[in-house]
Amino acid sequence: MRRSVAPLARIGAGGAIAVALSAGIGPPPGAPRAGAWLDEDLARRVARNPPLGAVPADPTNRFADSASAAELGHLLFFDARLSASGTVSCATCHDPARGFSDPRPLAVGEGTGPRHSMTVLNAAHQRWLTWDGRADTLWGQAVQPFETVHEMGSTRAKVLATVRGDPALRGRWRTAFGEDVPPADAGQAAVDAAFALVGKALAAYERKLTSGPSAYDRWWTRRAAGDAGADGELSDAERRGLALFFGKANCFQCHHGALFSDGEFHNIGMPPRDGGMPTDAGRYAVVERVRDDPFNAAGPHSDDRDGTQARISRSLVNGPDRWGEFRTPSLRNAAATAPYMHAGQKATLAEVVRFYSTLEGATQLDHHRESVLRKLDLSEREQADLVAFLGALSGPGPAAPWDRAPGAAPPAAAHVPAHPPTDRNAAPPSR
Amino acid sequence: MFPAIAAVSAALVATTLAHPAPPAPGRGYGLPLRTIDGLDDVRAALVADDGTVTAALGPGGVVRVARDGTRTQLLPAWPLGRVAEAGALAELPDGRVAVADTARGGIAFVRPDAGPTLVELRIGGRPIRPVGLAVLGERLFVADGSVPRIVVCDLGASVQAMWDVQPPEVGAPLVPLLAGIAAGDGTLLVSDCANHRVIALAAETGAEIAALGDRGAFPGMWQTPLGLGWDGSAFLVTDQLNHRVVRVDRECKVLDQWGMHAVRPREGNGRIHYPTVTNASADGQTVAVAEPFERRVQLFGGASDEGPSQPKVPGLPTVDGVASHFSTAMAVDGRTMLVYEPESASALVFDLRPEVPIHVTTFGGPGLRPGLLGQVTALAVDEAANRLHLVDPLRGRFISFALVRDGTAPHFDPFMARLVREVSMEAVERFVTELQLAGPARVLPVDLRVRPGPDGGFVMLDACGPRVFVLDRDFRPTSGFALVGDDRGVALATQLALPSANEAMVVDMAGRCVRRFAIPGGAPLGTIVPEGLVRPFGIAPLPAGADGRARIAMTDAGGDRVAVVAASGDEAVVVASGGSNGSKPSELWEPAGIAWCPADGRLYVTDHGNHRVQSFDADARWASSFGIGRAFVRPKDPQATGPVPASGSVPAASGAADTRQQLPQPVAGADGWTQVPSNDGHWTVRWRFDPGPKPPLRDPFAIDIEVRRAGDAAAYEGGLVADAAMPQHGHGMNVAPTVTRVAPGRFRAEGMLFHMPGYWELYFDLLQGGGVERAQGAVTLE
Repeated sequence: MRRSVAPLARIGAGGAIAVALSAGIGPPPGAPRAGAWLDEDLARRVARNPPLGAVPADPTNRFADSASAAELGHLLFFDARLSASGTVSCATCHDPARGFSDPRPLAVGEGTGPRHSMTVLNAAHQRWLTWDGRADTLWGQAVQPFETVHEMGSTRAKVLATVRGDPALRGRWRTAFGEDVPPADAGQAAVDAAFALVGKALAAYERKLTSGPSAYDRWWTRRAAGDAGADGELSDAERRGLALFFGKANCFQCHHGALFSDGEFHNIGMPPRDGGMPTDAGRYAVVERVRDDPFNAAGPHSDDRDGTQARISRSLVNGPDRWGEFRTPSLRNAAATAPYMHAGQKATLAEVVRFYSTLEGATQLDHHRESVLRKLDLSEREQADLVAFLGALSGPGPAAPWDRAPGAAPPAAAHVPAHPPTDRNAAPPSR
Repeated sequence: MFPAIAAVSAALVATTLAHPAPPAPGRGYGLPLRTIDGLDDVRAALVADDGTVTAALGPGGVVRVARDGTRTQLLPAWPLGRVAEAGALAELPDGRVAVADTARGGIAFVRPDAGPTLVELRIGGRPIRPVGLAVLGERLFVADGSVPRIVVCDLGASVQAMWDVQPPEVGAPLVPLLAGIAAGDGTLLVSDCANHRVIALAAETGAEIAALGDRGAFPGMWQTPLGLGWDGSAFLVTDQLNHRVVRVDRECKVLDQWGMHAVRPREGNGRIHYPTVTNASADGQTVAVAEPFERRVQLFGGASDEGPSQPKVPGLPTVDGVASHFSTAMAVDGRTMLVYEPESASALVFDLRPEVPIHVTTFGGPGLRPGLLGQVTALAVDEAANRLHLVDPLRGRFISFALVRDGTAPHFDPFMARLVREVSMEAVERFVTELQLAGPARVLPVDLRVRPGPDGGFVMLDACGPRVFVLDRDFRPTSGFALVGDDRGVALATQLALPSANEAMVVDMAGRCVRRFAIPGGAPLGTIVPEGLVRPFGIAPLPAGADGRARIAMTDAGGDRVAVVAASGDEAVVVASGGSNGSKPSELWEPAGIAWCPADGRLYVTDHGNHRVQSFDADARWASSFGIGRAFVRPKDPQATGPVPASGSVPAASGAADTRQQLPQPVAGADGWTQVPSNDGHWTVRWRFDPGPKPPLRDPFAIDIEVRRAGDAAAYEGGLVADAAMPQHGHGMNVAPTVTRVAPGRFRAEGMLFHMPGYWELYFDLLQGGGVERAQGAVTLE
């Protein structure tokens, strides 16, 4: 249909592009200057993808920046006793050794879920959490897996009972919140309020899980400062990949901003794992749920019930266009978080890039709507360059002690694939 | 064919026989068995266990096709069969076939060995509009396509009860428009093609059990669900504009589906094209899918034993896109042509100045907000006034757009059309009850014409009744009359023409004639009965011929031709005929709407069954074939043997209007306020962003708005709705702003949010008596 989605290549052309704000902190001074291989258009777009600033304030969670809450959350994140069988913790699917993500395509907690576990790294920067955005705050998302049958399969009462029954946890709870964990017979209101605190402690911990500066960030900062050697931070392949990412491959249209994600929802026609009809309704199935969730930014447990996020969540509208839409994931540390897409359909970044290049297998049920995407028809080398560039978005991960289970040794496997400096100026293998 | 919403559906139930089980969930009926062609205007079909197919053919009565292909006329065509629009079928336990007459509101009971018995269905003195029939036990359930209700009758069609069908509870639902009904296992399923839903009700009480649907193509969504059937264990839903049949259970859970959109017209062998109804044999082994667009019924059997059938998922469309699919409507004025595409609920404008007309813009799109469309059934163009008028009976609005043209040579501009205003159809519906005009209590327009002459205004043809309304420039009815009675009765009204300010002509598809009336008032002026028309649809008056006789051009949808008729007094003779059955350039398949363009000397015809428009001269000689895609023209070389591809040259802009002054761009003032006149010129609207000067990206913001009357700057006393959209992406905001009236003419819209960078349009819709007038601006966020 003519009026439907035009190729995104047509938008965003012309005019100065100001740096997009990731909520909270302002843009860094200056931006990479054009010159040599970085032409004006590229420079303008690159300016919208600066290094990630500090984690934005979360007024809906009054314990967001509390150290003691974060310590409690740290313990809870790795505590498998909070699940029905006692074997599943948050870390089961959000493994620190795997970029706080999961190498399995579908999440396996108490049961197998329908989706791939997203990374928790940098989640504090996102407005909407999870693939379908069914939570509008970090703490509101953190409470959901406890009561989901295939995730932790438990109940809020049991979770609180476990915390109350462990003197160490209970002590930390009192330190963090200044009150005791409510007993089993405390009544629904008290249980719900305490459950929200569980989420807020976890969120306080998760706010520590940032990916840290990447080669791209170092390049960006040095180039913005006019440092002549800035390009040395990237290999030739990574530079070519950057030019594609912000140029003819058009990735920046949805993967813009410091997070390399617009935080919004799109349907890119990703086919289901087993082929056949798409059955996962994505955003369409959860809009009403977000609006009505008692643990949302507008609800009774929020510490900022009339703030920005609350107002947005209250006024959400749904529509048939939202069917099958999923949130743009951040590309930071993507190299460490295989497989990819909402059901882990793509095992490697190379497969992801090939999908965008060929659109093979993409499903489009309404033949009158143009797709969001156009085939890119990239060469093999161009695809490899894009994959290389995505590798340059990887940072070292969170600082200790947050990057591992409490009291554990440093993680054996690297957080991210090695990014050796020796690669940077080597000629790529000829293809 | 008829526009989607006027298309009729049928439903079958055979209930009490024990039979082998139909396919289990996941198996579907994907196996094509055979096709029965040559069923012109087939609206409904039943299939028996032995493969006998009974088909309702609209004005063509009901025909029975045996397994060996022998055809018998079960119910003669109109007028002999006394059914003007055989639109739905049901088989009764005693072997009779019930046939719904959608146009006239009756049910005919037919036996092979005896004449039909006709029962009129009236409620509150008004006929209903039966669009679906279902039998369960001792009761006959009739879906009413006018007032949304199920009429419960005994097997003799005596009314026992009525159950209303409610719209969905969320959002801003439309008044339901029922299109089909089926019954099985103590449950009724009824389709609402306005809200794109199916609703399951308890057959004993009419209480709602479950409902499913939204507009779309994904599982659990529909695009105009029409006829329903029951296969012994599940319901069959004919999802017309998704070109598929879906099985759902009694709780409206999707079980499976089959059918893929035909890529070319006439493609069959399992490809489905605009199906209207699906019914199953009593043993559940065979289903029949009626496709009037293809004049056929396809029979399908259960999927093979290899396991659950995995419906083939179509890939992305090719880079060139898919050709448009025009409905039957057609409007031309000056050098502007307007057509409509139901699947995308979009209107398309063609500029007729080039030798082969150029598509210059598309507007509309599906949705419920002002400027978006539910489904459009009639179009009119008034080029001098720069207005394109659409009638949307689902949203209940007359919607008027204007084109912003810059006077250059014709070119494609996606932003050319702007919503000017919407007027509610409520006044017309009240008119029906106040004047006690005959016919059902709902207005379903099928044609609209701009009235020539000093009074201006419009004349509208309503399929319910049928009726004719004379409307003023603001779409308020000033007179109306029903086309009933011996001297002016029209059995099945399709299109309307206005040869002068005081005369209207209406095509009677069933009666194969044209009735003439004086307007206003409706005094009959005579009947034109051209010979040889199989199933006429459209009409366009032509200049008088050299012999002084009046000439009209007509499309014969059943005969696949354009006919020029010379009429004087009671005599009517076809003096020229163009087109023949087929799909090549110059051939026609169900030609529908037709319009005469005096500036070109061309007749433009929607060649509905071939997804294109074709043009002819006043002697019905074919001139060109075009649409979205390749165009062909009559070769100038007399030696050439067939149509040639168009050479594609574009003329200069001579005679082109520059209409930018009429719809000026907003002007930003030094005080931070931006100002623009409303699109119909009555108001001046000013606004300012807070925080300004440009709204933030991805964070909520507010807009202060001020509205004053143009000219005397008096404050605006009405209400306002604020909205925004990204027209290039086809979506709006993800949030709904709240608008508060701070003072007369002063508003504040809070909670706006632009979640993506790019070009956003702002819409300030001023509420006017059930409709709106729009003022708009735009802002680009980087």
